[in-house]
Amino acid sequence: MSNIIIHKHAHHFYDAEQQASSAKLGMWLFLVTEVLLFSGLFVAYTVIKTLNPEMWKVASEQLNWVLGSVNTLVLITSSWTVALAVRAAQTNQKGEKNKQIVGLLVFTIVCAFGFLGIKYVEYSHKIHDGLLWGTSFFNHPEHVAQINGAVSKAFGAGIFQVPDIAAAMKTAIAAAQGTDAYAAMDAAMHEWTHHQELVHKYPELAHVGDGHLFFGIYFLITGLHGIHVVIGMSVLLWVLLGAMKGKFYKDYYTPVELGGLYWHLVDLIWIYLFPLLYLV
Amino acid sequence: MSSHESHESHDHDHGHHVTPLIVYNGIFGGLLVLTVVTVWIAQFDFGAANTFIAMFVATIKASLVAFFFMHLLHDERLNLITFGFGLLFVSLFFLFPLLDITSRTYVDPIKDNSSGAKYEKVLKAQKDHEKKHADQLSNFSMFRKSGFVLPSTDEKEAAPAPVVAPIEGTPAEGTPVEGTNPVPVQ
Repeated sequence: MSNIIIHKHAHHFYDAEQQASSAKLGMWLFLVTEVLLFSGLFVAYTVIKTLNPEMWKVASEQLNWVLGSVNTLVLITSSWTVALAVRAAQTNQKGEKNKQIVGLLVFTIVCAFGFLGIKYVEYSHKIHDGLLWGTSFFNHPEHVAQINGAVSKAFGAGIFQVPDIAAAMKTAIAAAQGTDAYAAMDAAMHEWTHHQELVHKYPELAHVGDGHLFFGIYFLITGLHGIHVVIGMSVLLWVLLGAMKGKFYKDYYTPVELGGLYWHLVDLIWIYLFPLLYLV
Repeated sequence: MSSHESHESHDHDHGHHVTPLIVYNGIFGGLLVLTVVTVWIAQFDFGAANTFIAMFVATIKASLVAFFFMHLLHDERLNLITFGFGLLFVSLFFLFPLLDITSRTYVDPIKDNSSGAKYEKVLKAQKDHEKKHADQLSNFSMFRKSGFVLPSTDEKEAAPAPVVAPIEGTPAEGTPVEGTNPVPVQ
C-alpha cells in the first residue's frame, strides 16, 4: 500500500535514531576536515595578497564579477532546494512526498550543472588569454623568454633589431613558403603575435609583474571548489536514485540529510570565496 | 495509556525538528538580499576595511546557512560544538601567518643596529632581485618600441630607445643597437 521501502537499522546500533545521529556526527567531523583543507588555501591567499597588494588589485580586476554573482545566486538557490528536499523527506509519511523529493533533488543537480557551465566559460576565457599560474602566465619572464627564443631560432636573433618586427616576420615567412623552416616560423610568429596582443590587452597586468601568483591562487581555490561541486553532484545523484525507489521517509532520511550537508558546505565555501576573489 | 506516553516521549527523543517552510523561504530571501548587498557595497572603497566588510556579510550568510539550512540551531549540540572547534582551529591557522606578515614592517634598521646591517643586506638582495626581474622584462624591448610595454620606473627618466632607421650609413650587420637587449639564442 505504501510507496516506501522500510529501513532497518544496523545490528550494532541500539536503534535507528542512534544510527542516524552517529552518521550525522561523523559527517560533521568530515566537514571540519574539509574546512581545514580549504583554509590552507585561504591562508595562502591572505599571505600572498598581503605581500603583493598592487599586483593583487590589478589581477583580481580581471575576474568577471557578474558571472561570479550569478554563480553565487545559483549555489544559494540549490542550497535552498536541497534543504527543502531534506524537509520533504522528514515529513514523508507513506511516500506521498516521493515525487517532491525527486523533483527538488533534480532541480539541485541542474543548478550544479549550471554552476559548472558558468565556471567553464570563465576558465576557457582565462586559458585563452594566458591568465594562468606559474610560467604559463602570459607575461611570466620565462614564458616570454621561451617565445623570444623560438622567434630567434626561426628568424635569427637579428630580427629583434628590426624596427617593425611583425612586418619583417611576414616577409620572411612569405619567402620561406614551401621550405622546411616554414612551420617553425609560422608557429613562432603566431605565439609572438598572440603574446603581443595580450600585452596590449592587459597593459597594467603586464607591467605590474607576478600576476601568476594571483591566478595560481584563483585556480587552486576555485578548482578545488569545482571538484567539490562535482563530488556533491555525484552524491546527490546517488541520493536521487534512492529517492526514486522510495527509500526515504520520516524515520529514515540520513542519505538525503548528509548529502544535503555536503552540498551546503560547498555553498558555504563559495560564500567566502566569491567576495574574496571577485569583489575585494 | 502507557503506550501512548512512551510514544510521546519517543517522539520527543527523536528531536527531529522540522523547520517550518516559511523559515527556509525567509532564509533563502535573506541570502539573496545579502548577496546583492555584498556586490553593491564592493563598489565603494573603504580602504583596508573592504575585506572586513565583505567578510562580515559573508559570515552572516554562512551563519544563516549553517544554523538553518544545516540545522545546527535545533540539532544535537554536539554537532555545533564539533564544527565550532573546527572553526577555532581555522582561526589559529590564520593567526600565526597573520602575526608574521603584518609585523614585518616593524623592523627598524636605524634603531636596531645589530639587525640593521642584516636588514640592509636583505634590502640589497631584494633590490637586486627586482633589477633582475626588470632586466628580464626589458627583454621584450621590441614591444616597448611598438608601445606595448610601459617603461619600468627606473627607465622612465632615460631617453626612449631611438628607433633605428637607415638614414645615412646603414650600421654594419650584427652591430648591437642601443636600447635593445634581445634574448640570446638557446
